[in-house]
Amino acid sequence: MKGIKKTTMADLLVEIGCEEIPAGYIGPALEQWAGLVSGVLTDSRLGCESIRTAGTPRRLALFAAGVSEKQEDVSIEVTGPPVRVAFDADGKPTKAAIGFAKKQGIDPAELKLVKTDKGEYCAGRKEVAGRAAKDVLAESLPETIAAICFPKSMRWATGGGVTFARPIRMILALLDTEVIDFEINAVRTGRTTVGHPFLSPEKLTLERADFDAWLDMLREHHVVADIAERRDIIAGKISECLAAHGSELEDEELLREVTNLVEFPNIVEGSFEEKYLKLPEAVLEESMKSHQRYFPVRDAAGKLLPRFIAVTNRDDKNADTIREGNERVLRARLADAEFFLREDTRTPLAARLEQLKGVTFQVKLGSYYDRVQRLRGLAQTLAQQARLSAEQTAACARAAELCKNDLVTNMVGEFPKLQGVVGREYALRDGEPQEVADAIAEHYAPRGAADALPHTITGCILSLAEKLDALLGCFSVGLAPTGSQDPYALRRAAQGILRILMEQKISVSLSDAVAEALRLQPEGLAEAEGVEGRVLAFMRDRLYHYFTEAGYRYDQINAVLATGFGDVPDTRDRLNSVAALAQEPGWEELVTVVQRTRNILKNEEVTVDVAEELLQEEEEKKLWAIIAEHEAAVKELIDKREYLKASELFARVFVQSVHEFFDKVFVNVDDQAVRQNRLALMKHINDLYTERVADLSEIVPAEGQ
Amino acid sequence: MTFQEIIFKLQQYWAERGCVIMQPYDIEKGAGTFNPATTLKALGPEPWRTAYVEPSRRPTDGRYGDNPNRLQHYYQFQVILKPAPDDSQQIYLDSLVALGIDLVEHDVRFVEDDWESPTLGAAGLGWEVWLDGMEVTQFTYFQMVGSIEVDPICVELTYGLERLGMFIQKKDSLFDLEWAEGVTYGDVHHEDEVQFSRYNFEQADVPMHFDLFDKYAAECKRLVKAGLVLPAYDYVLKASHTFNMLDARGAISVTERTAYIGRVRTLARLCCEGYLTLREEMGFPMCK
Repeated sequence: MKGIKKTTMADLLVEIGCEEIPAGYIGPALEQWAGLVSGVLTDSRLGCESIRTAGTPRRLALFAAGVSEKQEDVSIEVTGPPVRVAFDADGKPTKAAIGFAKKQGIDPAELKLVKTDKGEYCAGRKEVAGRAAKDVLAESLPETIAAICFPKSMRWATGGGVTFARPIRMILALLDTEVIDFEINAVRTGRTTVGHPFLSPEKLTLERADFDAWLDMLREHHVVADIAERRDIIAGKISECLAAHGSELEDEELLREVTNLVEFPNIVEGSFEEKYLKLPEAVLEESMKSHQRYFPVRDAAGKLLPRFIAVTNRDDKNADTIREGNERVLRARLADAEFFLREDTRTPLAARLEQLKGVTFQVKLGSYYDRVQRLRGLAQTLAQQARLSAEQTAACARAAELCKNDLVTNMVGEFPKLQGVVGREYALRDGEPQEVADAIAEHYAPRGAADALPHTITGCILSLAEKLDALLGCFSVGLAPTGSQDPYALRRAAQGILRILMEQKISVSLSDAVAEALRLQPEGLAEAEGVEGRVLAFMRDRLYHYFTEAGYRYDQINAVLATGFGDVPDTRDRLNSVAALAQEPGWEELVTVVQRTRNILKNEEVTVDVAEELLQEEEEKKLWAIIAEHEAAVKELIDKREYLKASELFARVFVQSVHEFFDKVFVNVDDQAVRQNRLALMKHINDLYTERVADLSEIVPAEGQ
Repeated sequence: MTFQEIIFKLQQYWAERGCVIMQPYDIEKGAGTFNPATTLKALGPEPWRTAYVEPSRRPTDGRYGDNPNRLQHYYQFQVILKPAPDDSQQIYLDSLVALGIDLVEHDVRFVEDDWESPTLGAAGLGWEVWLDGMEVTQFTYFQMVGSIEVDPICVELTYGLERLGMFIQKKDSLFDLEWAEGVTYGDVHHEDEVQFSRYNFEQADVPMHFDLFDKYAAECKRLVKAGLVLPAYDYVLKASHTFNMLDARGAISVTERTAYIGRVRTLARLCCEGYLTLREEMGFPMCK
């Protein structure tokens, strides 16, 4: 038997040299690759202590420290022929067994007998020598590279081969000092890499797999391969530049992107003519950011300055040339934007309505023109329900008429992200009132769970209309979200509706709004069966989700939703009250009253009101007297939305009396009239609370009680 | 360097690298890719290298000659290298050097751009090449042409000649480009922009163009059936340009758009399939 040899450790460094990989691919690719390599090292018994990655548009690199140079030797049991064939009468190995042993490299004398499900067989232990890591990795590394998934991959080699984000042109693969030998699409591994393609295009040779030495060598050749380091350099330079104007770097997303667009990070600050500051701010910003990836420059007050910062892949030597070139490009873009502004504003925004007839929203739901007609009607109704003034209601209707017209302007054609914002700008130029213009800009908000809500009441109303119309329209033509499929972003729309209602405290009846949005859908669709119910159930789910996310207890949410959720801000008020009550000493008693009065009604149909003359026992008469005395007060508190006070009063008058009733009065008497009357009494008390505040029979006792 | 000298230089450079210098194809088209020397010759195993200037028409981009950066008629310089050499990027960069552009002095960048032509059923991956922030070339590794996956892969380089000229001559308006000594781009083409913008946006006869589209499409199909794929492909170009005219006139709604593009794509696919079959029957004569 061989003893276990202590293996020595080695370091692994692999660098894939590519043509420019899209910025967004780099981070995720490195993460995947690290996982794949780590898996391979574990599975092939090589292991590793740690993995680090680095990457630029032109290279993806991975370093694994502490990889075994050689797999451990293992001994495995191999099974041979069945016993009756393997051993003769004397128990000695037969020819067949000897042949098997020789083939496996086992001494025939070592053969043993093993029992398996299929019977007894001869078997022996075979020593398998561990392979050198270099050889194992030569087979498995190319597989890990081929397995990296990109949003889009391409072919470049004749006859197919491995696909990758962009062509692979060079591979460095070292295990300590040795090259791991493999090839991908005819590119063979080696120990050379290359510096910055323009500033240091020379070939660089690496002696051993030393990550820091590799980073240093590249750094000396105008390549900062570490992503975080590159990010910090850019952030530092931009911050320094902005500080001179009194502002700070804010755009993390753009910073992340530009970090992966360069190898040698640097910046130039450029300027443009003051006259372009007359362009809408959003247009200026978008002109700089969307295509050119320039950082806009603001002063301390947040006002845009006629300056920009471009991130470059060059040193400072030719900064002036690069600045001038970039200034010329931006000037051309701003001249374009100015042209669009001039062309667009020749036609008043309102006059573009007809053009919307040619823009389809959804085949069965018609054009944007049709949609705007619905939005106007719905916005008006919602405004009235929310008790807006006549002027505000008119503003909502006007904003609805105009809100989609910017979709057919040159500016939105060029900068689709600016839909709404361009509409506001043009509306103001046409002399539309501020609240109309704001509503146009805000009616897409919120665009996500974390996005800001419309600030103006007209914006809220129009946004509600827009989202309700999308929901009801899509549900009625069978486009409700399923699983992960939600192409019309209806979950987001529903969430947006609920957030606006709740956070901007707009008390319109959700069911009325849903019904109205459905009524306005194209002919034939409004009659679709059950749409209203499905949309309300969908909203209920979203509301449940919203409250859960906000940290409320599920049973308290259920209790409140069981009572109703038509008035969304009120639903939250009730939930807050229930959550507060649950912390109070009298909570269990209150829950018990609601639950006892509810339990007795289970499977009962109560069709009568309480008739005083049928009350017989003292306890039920007393309850009736309490109702007479306090019901109005409870209801009044509820009407004033003073749910805590209402609950306290309800508990104070009913806890004792209801328990006494159950202790003393037998409900299920033979006299049906009396029985019904007692049930009606219980229902009366139960309804008083559950129909207006929360159905506390949904409450699940807290643990340990 | 004048505008025409840029063209001379590029022709010279690419001729030296084994390209057949072609002349523009004599039918209106939206881009040099539509030239059969690209679309059809990109298909199949036969090696092919070509370079040519292509006048390109995009009726919707007309700006009545008012905008310093946009034209409804402009020039592309198109290069096709098939199969794509391993050093495609370097060969391309050297062409910029040949134009006198110092690559250390200027910030050259390869910026992600997934190119697609839905009308041709063509798609590829590559970049826009930026010089100090200005996009001067589209660099694409074709993956699909005429809805057919290509093998070998070819690389397409499309230089925007006006942009390149503006970069080299440091001009803010393309109309100020010096075409030849003492003659500007504006002298040569400004009135075309004014007249054709008016025609494209205001005057082009819509019913006539709808009628033409149908006729071209029918002729294309008939010719494919008759085995005349090269003349058939001419009608793909005519149909495509007719669609662009209708688009500029605002005669095609957003929904119809997709359907029209789909019709042209189908015609292009038929021609490409037919061409591939034809070359196969001929034994791919350029595979030596």
